[in-house]
Amino acid sequence: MKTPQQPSQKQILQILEQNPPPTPDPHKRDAFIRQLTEEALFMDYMGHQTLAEKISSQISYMSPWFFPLQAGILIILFCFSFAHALQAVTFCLMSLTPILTGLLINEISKSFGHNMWEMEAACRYNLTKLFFLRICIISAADFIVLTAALAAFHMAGGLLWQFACCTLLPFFLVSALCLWLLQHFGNLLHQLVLLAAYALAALAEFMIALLPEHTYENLDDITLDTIFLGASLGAMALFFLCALRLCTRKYFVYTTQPTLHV
Amino acid sequence: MELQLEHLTKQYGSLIAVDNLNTTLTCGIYGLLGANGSGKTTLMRLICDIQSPTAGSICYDGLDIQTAGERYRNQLGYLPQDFGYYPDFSAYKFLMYMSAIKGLSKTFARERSLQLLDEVDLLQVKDKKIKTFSGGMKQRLGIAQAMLNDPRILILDEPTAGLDPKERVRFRNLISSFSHNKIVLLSTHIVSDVEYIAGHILMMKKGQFIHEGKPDKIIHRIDGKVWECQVPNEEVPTLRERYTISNLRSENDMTILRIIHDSQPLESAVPAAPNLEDLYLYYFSEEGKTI
Repeated sequence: MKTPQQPSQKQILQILEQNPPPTPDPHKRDAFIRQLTEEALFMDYMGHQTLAEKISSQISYMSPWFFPLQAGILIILFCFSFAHALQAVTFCLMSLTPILTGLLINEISKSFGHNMWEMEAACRYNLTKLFFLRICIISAADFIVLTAALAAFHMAGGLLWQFACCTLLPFFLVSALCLWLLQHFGNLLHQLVLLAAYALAALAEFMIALLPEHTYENLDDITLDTIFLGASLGAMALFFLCALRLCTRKYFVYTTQPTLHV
Repeated sequence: MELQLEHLTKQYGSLIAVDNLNTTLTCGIYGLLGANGSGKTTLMRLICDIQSPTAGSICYDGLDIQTAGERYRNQLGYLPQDFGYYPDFSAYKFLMYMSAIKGLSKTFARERSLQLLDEVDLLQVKDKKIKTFSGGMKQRLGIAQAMLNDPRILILDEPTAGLDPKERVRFRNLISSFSHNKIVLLSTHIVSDVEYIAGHILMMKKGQFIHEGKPDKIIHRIDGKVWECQVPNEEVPTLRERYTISNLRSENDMTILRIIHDSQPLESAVPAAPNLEDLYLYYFSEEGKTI
């Protein structure tokens, strides 16, 4: 049986010349180029990072005094609580809560304080994402500190509502207020936010502390627990709501108005 | 690769910072010239997705940059005009930090940071705290961070501020070698910074492009408006008040002036070939006088 003869190179070229390629439809060609460009742009060529990876990459860039200061607060509290000095622990908590709030706000808003916000905003993980990562880290650290502080307070003989009253409530309220201010005033407000945090936390705590004892006399511990824990939970919800809004607002860069023309 | 600005407008209340801009940027170095307050920084922030436009859009290869978001910023390098640093960071740690928020892997970031520190002549001081750096060193570090992710679009707002002449030459060479197949937008009001390296000039005034094109083409717009003359030294103050002087040089009792004016300012004045600086002064001399 004869096998079909293979065409020579010359014949192939002749066939190709006789059958020129069809001219592509310009609309289809443009659409195809656009589709390829879009796909290329969306290809994650720098690699995907999980949330845990993003958070861990940020931990080492927290301010150097952030974690030591929180550890210091805990050590002081536990020293007093082992001595069952409730008054000292209460005073300590009331003095240190504003510091905790200050740490939180300062750490989140440090991009504005050190004028780094513009560089960071143009990066892959822009300011909103960076804020989110920082809030995750700080919230985790604060959760540990507050839980440990509650344990220390309990060891010293304190009651739950007293802890909520002197620590949780002012902490969440003032932090929520600061996050709200940050969301609305951004880079224009850094120092004021800090000042407000300190002043309001201190004021709120002293006002509560100055309430005469007979204010609570008619209320039993369960009622007080319900009131102060409920208020603390409400303040915590407010805090997380403000944090969420800060981290999901797309544009929050504020500029002073240009000076020259209308 | 192209970046298309379509009817781009940014308004702050009643103030229009960027006014209905339409242009297409392709690969090459663009010099953005304009006086303070002309809208350069706002335009750059819009391109960098830091601010959103009031109207219009910016498309990268046909795709709106606000839709692309993170993917677009992946390809972006930006040096702002006014920036600071976390004081406890060393130069190397700063670049590693910026790499982390640019989403670069640690291995790549280490290699790239050291390479860039070498290119901007900071490798010897890489472990020193940034707070000990001079203004020029900080500026060079800022340039290095913008180039970390090998961006396809590089936006530099007043990059040569604070650099000495030697550093400026070095910067120009660095940008020229980096710009292949990339869009580089360089904003400045120092004309000599862009005169030699920019292939295109965008001249901005009151939020609008008043001129755009190749430097050697756009300077012809002021042909016949640049004059040179020699006058006695004592006449110079009067002439300075009356005309825009782009250059003056003393020779014994006489001064050679380069005057920019629509008509012949003096009988002895002869026409001279315009350059980019003359063009800039022609359009922005009023802003210069008020400052």
